[in-house]
Amino acid sequence: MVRVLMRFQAAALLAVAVLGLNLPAAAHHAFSAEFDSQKPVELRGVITKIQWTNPHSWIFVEVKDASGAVTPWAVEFGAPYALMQKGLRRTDFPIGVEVTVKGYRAKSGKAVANASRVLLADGRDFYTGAQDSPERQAARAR
Amino acid sequence: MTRAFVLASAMLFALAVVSPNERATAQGDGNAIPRTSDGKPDFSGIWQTLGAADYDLEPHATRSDAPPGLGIVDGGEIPYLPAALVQRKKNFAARATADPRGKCFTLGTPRGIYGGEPFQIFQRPRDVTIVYQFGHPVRTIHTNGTQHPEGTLDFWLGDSRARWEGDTLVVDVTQFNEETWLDRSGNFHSDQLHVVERWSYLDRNTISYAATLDDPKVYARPWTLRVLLYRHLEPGFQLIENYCYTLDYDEFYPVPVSERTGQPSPQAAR
Amino acid sequence: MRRVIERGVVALFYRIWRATVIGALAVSATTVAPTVVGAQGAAGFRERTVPAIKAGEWTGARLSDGQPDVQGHWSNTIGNHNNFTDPQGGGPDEEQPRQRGARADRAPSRVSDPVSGEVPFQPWARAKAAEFAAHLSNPTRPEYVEPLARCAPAGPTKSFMWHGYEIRQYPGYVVFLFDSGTRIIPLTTSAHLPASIKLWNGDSRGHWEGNTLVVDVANNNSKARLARTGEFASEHVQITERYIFDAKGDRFTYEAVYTDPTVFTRPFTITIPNKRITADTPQDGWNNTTFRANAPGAEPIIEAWERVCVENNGPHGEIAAAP
Repeated sequence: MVRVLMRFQAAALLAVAVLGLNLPAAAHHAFSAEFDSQKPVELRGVITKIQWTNPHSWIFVEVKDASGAVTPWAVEFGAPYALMQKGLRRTDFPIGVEVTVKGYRAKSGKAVANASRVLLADGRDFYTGAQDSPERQAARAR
Repeated sequence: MTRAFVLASAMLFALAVVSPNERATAQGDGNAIPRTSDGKPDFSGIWQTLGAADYDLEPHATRSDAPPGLGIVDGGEIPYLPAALVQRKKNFAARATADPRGKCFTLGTPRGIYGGEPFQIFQRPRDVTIVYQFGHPVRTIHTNGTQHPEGTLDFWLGDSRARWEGDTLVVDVTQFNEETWLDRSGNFHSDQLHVVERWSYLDRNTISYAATLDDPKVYARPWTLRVLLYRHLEPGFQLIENYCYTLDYDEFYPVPVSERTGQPSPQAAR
Repeated sequence: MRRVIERGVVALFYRIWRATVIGALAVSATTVAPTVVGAQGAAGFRERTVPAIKAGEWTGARLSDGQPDVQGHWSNTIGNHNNFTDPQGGGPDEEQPRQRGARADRAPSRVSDPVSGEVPFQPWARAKAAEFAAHLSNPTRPEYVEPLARCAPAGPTKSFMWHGYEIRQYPGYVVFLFDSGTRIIPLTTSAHLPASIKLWNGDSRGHWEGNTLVVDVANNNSKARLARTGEFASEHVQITERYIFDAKGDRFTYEAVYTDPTVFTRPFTITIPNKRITADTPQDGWNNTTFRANAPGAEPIIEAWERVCVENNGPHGEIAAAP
């Protein structure tokens, strides 16, 4: 547990440090055009499909709410090469495994989110957000 | 008689030692295949297949959505594993909506070759580049001695690395995703697909193309398909970019004509 | 064995990423504004000035057909398509605008003529561009969705403003490979396609004049727009491009004259500087998305992976639900 926390802190520190850079936005779509920074979501569900593709990878997650109703969500990640540089591989998202995702909901209102953090079943925690996501914009504005 | 015999023997001897291409060159190279400066066959040009392969790789009679075809599979049938055959039948039943071609998704490998629209090959010593008109994706076949990248990657066209065996280009393609179909009839593969292509000239305007597919999750054994590629010879022929996936939203960009200034434009649009 | 290799690859990329970040951190600690040539990472591709490269003779390497050899991987050096006339000034997508200092400290407008740096729009067109920009972050109508978000090709000019790209040359052709599409430029004087055919990346005809590749681009559908700030031309636009290559082979200037009397009050010129990417250029996930090829023991070769953008982007390009 302590080890996971330490890795998280190290990753977070590095992420914050990275945020200080004048890096251009990576997404072929503007974050704010597609996702709502005022609508954070946390999704826990079972992976039903993954699409590891350019420019964005997607995982499809079935989320069960308190009443037991299931909603299929589409969650956007980054490009495979960007994810690989963070240490994430396609094999980290096997079908049937539970994953927790924090992110922001789509402005279309559909069950679509942009993932900013993902917590895997083995305890690994990754920041996966777009470079123009709210966290990164806030850090740069300081 | 002796003289005639000697002459005939000499001619036979000459024919035996001189290769067909050299003979053609000696005769004025009307049939010599094009070659790059490093002596390899040069496949540059715009190519397209004939026939009904994209409708159905296997032999089939006419259907409401497909012309009849002899099939291009050695042995006629694709050797599916039993569970995969069930999936293939499901695909067939759903083909009108499930074929990824309908969304203008990349046709992949080998379907891009017999997919029914032309493609252009550009060749230089380090690689062979294929630009497919349908969707305009680009496949790079590396001929520079490099190997496949390491790790599990999901490419639509696969990763292509090739070597020459004489005048045949042998291409090894791996690292596929499982999103593409092999034709409009629901023939398919998994992400374990491995393709070995063989490209060689039949004559200077015709390429003989064979692809051997193996996929332990889908096929009981490797199998091979074969097609001929014909060079487009029409003067001025060129690819026309076909980004068909933009058709869904084409009408909304850039600024609808009806919203522009009311002045008539200097050049009449058709 | 494969698992060991995969771990090794992950470790390698992590080391590269870490080195890039550490290098970039060192730079950011000492600079405030976008930066200096030679810095590592993405910062190395964000310059404040546009180097002047003169059109003239080519004195560098040539291909067998006589073309200047400019093949390889490249990226522009002033910014992405957030803001057309203030490339490093932030775009309409910023919900929390950053402090960026004086305008003079940033790269100049991509509009190099007129010298005002403004696109010479007719009044109705300026209003239309502003309307697009105002709705970028709240696209309640389909025409407010940025076309690049739907994986549409970026158009002849904006293609140079979106990620690194590759140039390949062959007898009679120059081919540009972008993340957002492909441009095949035949080196010929033959006629363009019939005018009834309109294309996202247009139809190109090129020729070399010394160190300059001159390209005439017709058959434009002009649907891609030029930037998130909404600039656009119409399907009547004529584009003449000049790619002026430095003899050292590591930089070129892209210059495009846009002529469209239905949208602009006069022709204007767009200028975009570009720099070569080599095996020594740090990966930054935007300008340099190449990888070292798997060629053990040999000189490093860099290659880009498959450039395919359309698939599985279904949930993108959706219009925003009305509040």
